[in-house]
Amino acid sequence: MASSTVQLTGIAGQSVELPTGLFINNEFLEAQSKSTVKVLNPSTGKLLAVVAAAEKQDVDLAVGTAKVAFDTWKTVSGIERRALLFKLAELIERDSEIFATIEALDAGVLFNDSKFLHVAAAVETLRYFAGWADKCNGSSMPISGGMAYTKKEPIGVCAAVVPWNSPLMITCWKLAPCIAAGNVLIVKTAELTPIYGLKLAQLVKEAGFPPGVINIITGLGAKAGQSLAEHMEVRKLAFTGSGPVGRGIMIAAARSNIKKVTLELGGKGPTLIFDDAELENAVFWATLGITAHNGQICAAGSRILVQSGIYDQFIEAFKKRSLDAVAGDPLLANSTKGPLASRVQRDKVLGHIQKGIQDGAELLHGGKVIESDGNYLENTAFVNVTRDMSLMRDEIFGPVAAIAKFKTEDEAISLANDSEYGLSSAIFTSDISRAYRVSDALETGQVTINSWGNINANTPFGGKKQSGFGKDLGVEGLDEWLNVKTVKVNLLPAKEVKV
Amino acid sequence: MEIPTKLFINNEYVESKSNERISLSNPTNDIAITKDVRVASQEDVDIAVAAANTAFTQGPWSSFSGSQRAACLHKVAALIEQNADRLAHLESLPTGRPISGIIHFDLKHMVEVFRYYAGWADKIEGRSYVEDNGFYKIVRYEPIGVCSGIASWNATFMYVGWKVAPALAAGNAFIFKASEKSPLGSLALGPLFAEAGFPPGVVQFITGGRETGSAMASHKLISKLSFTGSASVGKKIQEAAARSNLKKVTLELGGKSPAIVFADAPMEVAVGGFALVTASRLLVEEKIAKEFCASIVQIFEAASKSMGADTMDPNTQHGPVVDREQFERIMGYIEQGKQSATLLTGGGRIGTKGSFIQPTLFLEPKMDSPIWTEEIFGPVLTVKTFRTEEEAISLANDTEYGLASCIYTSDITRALRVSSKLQAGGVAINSPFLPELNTPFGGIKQSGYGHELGKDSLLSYMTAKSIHIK
Repeated sequence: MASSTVQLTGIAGQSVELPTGLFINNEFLEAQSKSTVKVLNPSTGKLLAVVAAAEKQDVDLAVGTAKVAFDTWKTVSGIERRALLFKLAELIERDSEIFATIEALDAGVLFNDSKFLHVAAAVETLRYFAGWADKCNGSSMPISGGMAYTKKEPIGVCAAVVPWNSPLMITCWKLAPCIAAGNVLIVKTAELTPIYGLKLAQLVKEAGFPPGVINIITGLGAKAGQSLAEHMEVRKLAFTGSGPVGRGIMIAAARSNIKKVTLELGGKGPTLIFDDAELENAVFWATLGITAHNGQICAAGSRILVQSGIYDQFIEAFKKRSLDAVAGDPLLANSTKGPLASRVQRDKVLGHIQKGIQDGAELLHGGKVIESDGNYLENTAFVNVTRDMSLMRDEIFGPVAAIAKFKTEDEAISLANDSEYGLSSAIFTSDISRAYRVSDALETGQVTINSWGNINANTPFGGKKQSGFGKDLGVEGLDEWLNVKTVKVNLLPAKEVKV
Repeated sequence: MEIPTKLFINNEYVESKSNERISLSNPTNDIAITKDVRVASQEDVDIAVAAANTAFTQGPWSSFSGSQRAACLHKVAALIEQNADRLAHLESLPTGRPISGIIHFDLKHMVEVFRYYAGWADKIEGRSYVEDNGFYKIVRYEPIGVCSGIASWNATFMYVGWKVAPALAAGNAFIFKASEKSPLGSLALGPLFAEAGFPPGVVQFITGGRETGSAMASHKLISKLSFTGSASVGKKIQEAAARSNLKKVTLELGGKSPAIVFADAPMEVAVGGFALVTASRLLVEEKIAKEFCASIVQIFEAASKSMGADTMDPNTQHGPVVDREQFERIMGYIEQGKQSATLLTGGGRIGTKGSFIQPTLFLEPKMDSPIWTEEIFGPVLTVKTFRTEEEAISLANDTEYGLASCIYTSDITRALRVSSKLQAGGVAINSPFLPELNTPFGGIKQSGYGHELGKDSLLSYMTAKSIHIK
């Protein structure tokens, strides 16, 4: 049954009307059980929309259409897939302000951050992987008695369960390589932030993707997400989100059909600031690393380890910069701080702050709710945090920095690596040898030197240890969506030729 | 239709420094097209190279990211598509190549080549190695600098794509010289590159003949020259490169490509393969030779009947040879063929206007006959029969060339076995050999060295730099 629509209003009278259904086979449908989910504006607490929420039977339908679509889609050339991905990139670029409005209203992302960083990155990612679509090559190798070659083949029906913090960009991190590789994809958007998915779905259809190649649905993790993880016909699931949910997905995958799984599960990013760091640069990036999007970033630099020689200067500058934030409506250009994504998230973060205080960490600044109808929370930092405290160990996913002082390089490395997480880290130093030495020693999937959080379409991003496994972006990101088939041709002896 | 005649340097058409001009006429009817195509003198080449060098070392191009270069390449592909009719017309006029072939093959292919290499521009990867000996080791691939290309007249746009696209994707600057027999299409491309956002000096088109080419081959600031043409000129270019600055050279020098047809070949496919005449030597198994040759004769005679038609008509498939000089050259070979082989069909001129030659088939030439050993570059196919696979391979390899080849057989094992024994850069099975975007195209032996297309070509426009950090 066809779905209803929702209307959103942005700045300067910009208005967006979107269907609220599940995007399956290029149509927007109600959930078969009529199930819906309420979407709130995290900045005001008000209801933004009521959208269809997928349950098991809707997932079954989506997977069914994807499977049928794959039969034809697998015959489409890399060049044609490339053209479609380029078209989608062009359309997203055309509608970048619409996406920025949606992300501001729905996810609490600052409008300019969305437009100039997240949406721009999504477009770059699509263009980058579009250029791989016609280049998925295998190898050829000689073998005795014959010849062999490998083919890189699409996996088939794939799924991506994506988070609410940078919804469009992270969706495109999965969608671009998945489709470039020749798969079909079911995206389950976060039930907290489903609205961008509806707009993306419209553009998927406008770009000319055949029905069923890309389905976009939202639903509760426990229902729609679980159904995808258990589905016997889904052969790969890519997940970005929390550790406990990721664990559940891996278990469901094992119990069902041993589908391939990649998990990007968050981190506790250490930022190491050495005495010889360029101070202003270090302060800029370290502050950004834990305040950008209220620290709701898997790569957040949430543990700041500062060498004793530069400690006092750093703390003073960091505090000043952290407090210099203007909390406000994410749609407005002068807001430099938005709300946390939900009331539940805000309260979780408050809980971590309380625990920190109980554990005896010293509050440097912040710690309190900013009173409003939305989910605003002060930029917060603790100093003298010891390695066993929850503040140092647990991912908070909020604007809370845990700061510690160190004397030697070895001490810093030891502190930084003393974590079950291993996603990304940042080093600030002027000494090139130290930069290489320390970057080698850090047990994270990405290390940035003299900056924080750089994302590029051509560099792989993904963690170690309990930050998960598998890569997004880069050629390694593409390989995650391909299977290797080896073909060996046995050469028979020459037939006798009769003269 | 306006005919471009000036040199395209630094994103604009400019006057040349010499008074020399190239005259062009239409080989379908011998009517003059222009007498004004400029010839780039040494001074003009110097100016172009200086502009390219500035663009590469200091200009905005030198700090373009891979994705910025990709965007320009995509834009020029779109502009070429939009201007296809005019470009095809300008290329067809002096060469006599049917306009439909240029639109549906050359230009279409060039656009695909640009789009293919655009996708590589932001994916150029080097390597890193572990520092177990105290040094961090990084290998970067960097553009070479001012690169150049000289092409023959048979498929100008294809060569522009093959040479210019990978060079630009890699971040180089490029100077392209088309054949003096087919300069107009390439000159018309110039403004499209400017419109696509390539900064001045990054892509330039100059015109001229031997002397211009020689100035390029000897230039001390050109770091690479990619040449497609005859072996004799190719050798001179390599010599000039060595004498000047040891610039990198790739040579694509033509071939005497064999097509081997076994008795178990899929017949319709095999016969159909000769409509294109990409092979110049046909080796056919004795058992089926008579029947096979009869089929080829039929195709050739049908083509012959349709020749002489207006090459600007979209239905015309076959055109004349490019000019009188080529005409005389090919007729010379045909005369020699008549002395040393059996003529099965063709062998003469069509009509009295223009340079049309009948598709010609010779059988069992003497082994030292020039039609067997030398590249004719005209519609002449020479047939020999064989009895055994070994004989076929031996005949196929008995040539100084080694560009492409094809094998027709239903036996996959034989196909793969024979393919590994053929001395050629490319082997097609059950098809004529046609270039693919993804696979490197190039010859061995005196067909030259170096490759175009595929990732190989991209890397050939780059150089490795090793960085060791203690």
